[in-house]
Formats: sequence, structure tokens, C-alpha cells
Amino acid sequence: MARHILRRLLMTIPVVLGTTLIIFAAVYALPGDPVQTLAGPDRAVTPAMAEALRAHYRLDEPFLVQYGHYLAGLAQGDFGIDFNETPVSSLIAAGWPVTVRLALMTWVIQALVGVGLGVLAAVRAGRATDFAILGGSTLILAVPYFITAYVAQIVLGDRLGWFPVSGIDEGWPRSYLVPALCLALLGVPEVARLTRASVLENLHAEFVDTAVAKGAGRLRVLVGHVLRNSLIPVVSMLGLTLGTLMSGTILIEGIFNLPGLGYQAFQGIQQHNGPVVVGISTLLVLTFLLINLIVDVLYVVIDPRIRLD
Amino acid sequence: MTTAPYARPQHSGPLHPGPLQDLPGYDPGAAPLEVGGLQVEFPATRSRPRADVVSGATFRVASGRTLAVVGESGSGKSLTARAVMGLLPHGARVTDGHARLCGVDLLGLPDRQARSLRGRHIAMVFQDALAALNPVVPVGHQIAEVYRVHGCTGRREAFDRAVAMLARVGIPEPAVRAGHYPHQFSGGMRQRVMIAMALALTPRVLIADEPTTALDVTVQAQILGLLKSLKDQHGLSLVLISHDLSVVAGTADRVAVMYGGRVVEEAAADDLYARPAHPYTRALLDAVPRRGHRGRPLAALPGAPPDPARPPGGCPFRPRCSLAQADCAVPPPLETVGPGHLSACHRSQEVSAR
Repeated sequence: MARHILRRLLMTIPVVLGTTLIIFAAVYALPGDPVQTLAGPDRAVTPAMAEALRAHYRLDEPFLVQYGHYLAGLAQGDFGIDFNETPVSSLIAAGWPVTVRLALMTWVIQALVGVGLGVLAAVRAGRATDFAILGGSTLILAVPYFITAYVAQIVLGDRLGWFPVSGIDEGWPRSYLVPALCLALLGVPEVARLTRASVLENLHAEFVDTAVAKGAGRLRVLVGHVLRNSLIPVVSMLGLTLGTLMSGTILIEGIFNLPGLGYQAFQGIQQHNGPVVVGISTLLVLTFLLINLIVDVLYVVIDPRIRLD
Repeated sequence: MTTAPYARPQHSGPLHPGPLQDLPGYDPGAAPLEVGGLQVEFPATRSRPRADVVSGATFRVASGRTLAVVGESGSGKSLTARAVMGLLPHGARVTDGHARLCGVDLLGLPDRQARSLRGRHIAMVFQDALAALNPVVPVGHQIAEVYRVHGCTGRREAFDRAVAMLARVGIPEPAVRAGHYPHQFSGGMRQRVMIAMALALTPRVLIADEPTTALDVTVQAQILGLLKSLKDQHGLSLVLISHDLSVVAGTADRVAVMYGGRVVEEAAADDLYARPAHPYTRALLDAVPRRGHRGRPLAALPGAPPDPARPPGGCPFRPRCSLAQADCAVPPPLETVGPGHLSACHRSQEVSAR
């Protein structure tokens, strides 16, 4: 097990190198001159000043050298300094808790509601409940989630006033509930469908007959035998979803004005603030890889048939 | 640790008073399992006509004896067993008949009571142990579940007793193996695990549905031997379902031959092999290769078993029978044709005289 984890960790190194290189190149290739953005929109930039700024942010060096400097800093845990002289790490420290809260809350809702509905649909397969759940999930998938988000914001926040319209002034959980619910709508149908298919497959497995032949009751058969097997693919999907959620909160953070990582990255792009974009993207990539690794290890725990090494 | 002597739970001991005695119809003198006139059908659906898959299965197994139920695929032998265990596949239902466990009709019991009997007084071993064991639960826990379900013991003791059961069915290092998963066992060892699970509470009746079909011939013999010795030790009644008359030969006391959803012949094993009284049984026996018949072609039975959705009417074997005549359009009843020998054939005398 330890060897497997170590090997997986080593395998992440080329992935980190590759992804950071791509992100770095993308930001480098952004149209517009960062120096102009740095100085401000309407100010004339003297050649001397431009030169100084370029030297300060190493913008005068070749692309690969810049990238090398960035990697060297990253290896020491330094995300660099953005064009407003703020350390990117302090931006991350501010945005991280917001995004983590939002993502985790969304994830928990997705897991509970998705698995619950999926099991219900499977147990009632072919009946009205099943059709309602399948139909409802198709409907939800068909509506873009930012529309749901705006509607929820207007109805729940503004008209009814049950929840804050935007911002995080009211803290966790009130400020996060509506955004998390809207974001969860995106994942619930997927989780529910996978769970339904997986439960249906196991519901007619022979080991279910064995459990019945032992005299086990319906609930025990369902939870101890059917679910125990059905949740294997669901758990691995949920794990990967958590990784995507971390970076998938940008739009919702924008709509609800939550100052999380996505929001900051978005601002960074608009302001041509390269270090912010690169820093946050790198962090999200690292998080995603870490979660993937955890899911992989977890997979072995829940499915003993899988061998490592 | 615990390969310690295993205290066999008594059927009516004070520790786990079985619920069987309290159920309606209980008769200590009745046969452990008696199936009569059992009918199972798949009702018609849009894509498929109604099908009688079991149409009047009748047999009984005496205390401490082995009854083999023999027939080809589709003869209804497995569905009969599943109906008795309450394990009919989705859509199938019992339309008539009874299955009495010591006099208690399993088919008429409310679900809760039927459940309390399953695993405790009647248990089943399946053909494919790999599919029949839960792949993600250690085998020790799967056996222990039997004790837990029937409220016999706490978690810890249940596991210890599971280990003792593994030792009893001849699994080496049972304490270690109890923590292993089904895929870590060989086919024969897996079937031993199944048997340990089925016998955990020493049921009165064990139904073994093709228990050795998926195994190598040498392992087959071991498993059959194990079943036989456990049966003798515990005085169980064993219903051995098989399509293979040679598997049955050394094990069964009596044999019931099923064809087209009904029992066409039932007799003591020796008697059946020596003097079959149904043309189907004779055809089956003729198809078994034996010493001294070398170089001669094996007799093959032409044709295919009847489609349960379109039974031929009358004797189900009529279309394939060399002795069939006009009166075979009237279904022959299962009648006594000799001492302890039943056959459903108008020409049974003719068959046994050959």
C-alpha cells in the first residue's frame, strides 16, 4: 500500500509539470500587455518605467526562464507575488476556505440526495417513483445551472428573503446553502442515475439470493449486500466529483459574490494578473491530484478484489 | 485459535428455541420436507405468453435421507427448490401446491415467519459459489451473519462460531481464512464456505442446487463426500438437485426424476437404476457411458424438452417417447408401480420389463 501511494505521488510530478506549463503558457499568451495593466488603464507608460516593471516581474526574460523561476518558487511553497504586490499565497489563504466550504457542502448534498434518489428509483424500478426521479433528473440536467442559480437568488434571496442574496456576511451555513444547492443540482442527476443502475445490477445478483436464503430481512439485504456492492462505482465517481467541484465553483461564486478561489481567478484573468491565475490554477490542479490519489486508495478499501502493485 | 470443539445448537435447546414448533401445522412426525402438487408460473406479459414452469412437482424427503432431484435444464427442478426457499425470480409465482417443512407449509406463511425458518431450519447451497457469495465481505462475516440474523449470538461470538464452522467443513487455518474474501478461495474451498454457511445453524433440510457442477471431478467427489458426512453427523435431510445421474448415484437414497415441470418417476436409487419405470429415465440411463459398453455408440435422446409456454398436452414426454400411443394424450398420474416406486407413465410395466 505505502509503495503504491509513493509511486502514485511520484507519478503526479510529471502531471504537475505538464499542467503548470500549459497554464503558464496560456497566461503568457493572453492578449494585451501586462505592463499597461500594471500601470493602470489610462496612464502613459514611459519606456524607463516599463523597463523597470518588466525587470521587477521578470517579464523581460524568456518564457522558459520565467517558468523555471516559477517552478523553483513553487517547490519551496512560494506562489509568487501578484501585480498588486500581494503575495498570491495570502490571496489563496483568503479564498480557499470559502471555496472549500462551498465545494464540500455541495458534495455532501450531491452524495446524500443523489444516492438516496438512486436507491429509491432502483427499488421502485419501473414504477411511478422511478419515472418521476428519472424524468426529474433529465429536466434538471436540461436547465443550465446558472439560470437555476439566478432564479433561486431572486426567489429565495430577494422575494422571500429567506437567505442572503449574495456575499458571505452571514457566514456558514446560511450564506452557502443556496449556492451549494444550485451547484449540487448539476451533480445529483448523475449520481442518482449511476446509483440506480448499479443497485439494479446488484439487486438480482446471486449473493442477494444467498442473503435471503439465510433469512436476512429486506433492509439488511438492501444495505448490507446490495448497497455495499453498488456503492463501489458511486464512491469513485463522487471522489472525482469533489475534485471537479473545487474548480467548478467559479460561476456560482461569481453569481453569489462569494470571494472564493474561482472568483479570484476570474478577477485575475480580467486584470491580466498572471501570477494569480497561475497560482490558483496550480493549487486546484494539486488538489485534484490529491483527491484522485485518496479516491484510489479508498477504492482498494471498499473493493477488496482490486489489487495494488 | 478457535478450532475448539463446536457446540452444536440443538433444534429445541433452551438457548435458541426454534420458532418452528410454534407455527401452524407443525408435526414432529411429518417428513422434514414434503412438496406436493407444486405449480409455478410466469404470468403472461406483453412479449411472452403465460408459462407453467413447474406443473405439479411432488416429492418428499425422509429424515436423515438424501433425495436427488434429477432433470435436464428447464425441467423445473431449480425453480421448485427456489419456490420452497422463497427465492423465485422476479415475475414467477406459485399458483398451487404446498411445501411443508415438518408439516409447516412454507408457501402459506407470512414473510416474517418464513424468513425466521430460512437459514435456520431449511438452507440452500447454490451452484456457483463465487456468484453466491458477497464479493466484498470476508467469508467469516458472511457465515457469522446467519447467527446474527437469527439473533443467536453477539457479533464476537458469531464470528468465532463462523470460524468453527469453517474448520468443520475442512478449511485449513480457519481463523485466518475467515478474514479472506471469496475471490481468494479456490472453487472447491468456496463451495465449502457455502456449505458452512448453510449448515451454520444445523437446519433440518439442506437443498443443494447443483453443488458440484462448477467443480473439477476430483473436487466434486470431495464436496459430495463432505455433504454426505455432514448429513450423517447432523441427521439432516438433503435434497440434491442435479442434471447428472452419475453424480447422484453414489449419494442419493431416493431419486425423483423431473421432466417438463413435473416429477415423472420417483424411486429408491438402486431400484431406479436397475428397473426404470419411465421411458425418460430409461433414456437418461442409456445415455450414461459405462464400462463394458466400449465401442458402442451412446444412446442419444432425440428432440428437445417441451417449451413451458406451449406444453404438448397429456404426457410432457410424449413427443420424444418411442412408446407413445394415443392414450398418452391423457396426462398419466404419478402412480405406485412397485414397492416405493412411483412412475407417471401409462406404459410403466412395459418400460421396466425391457
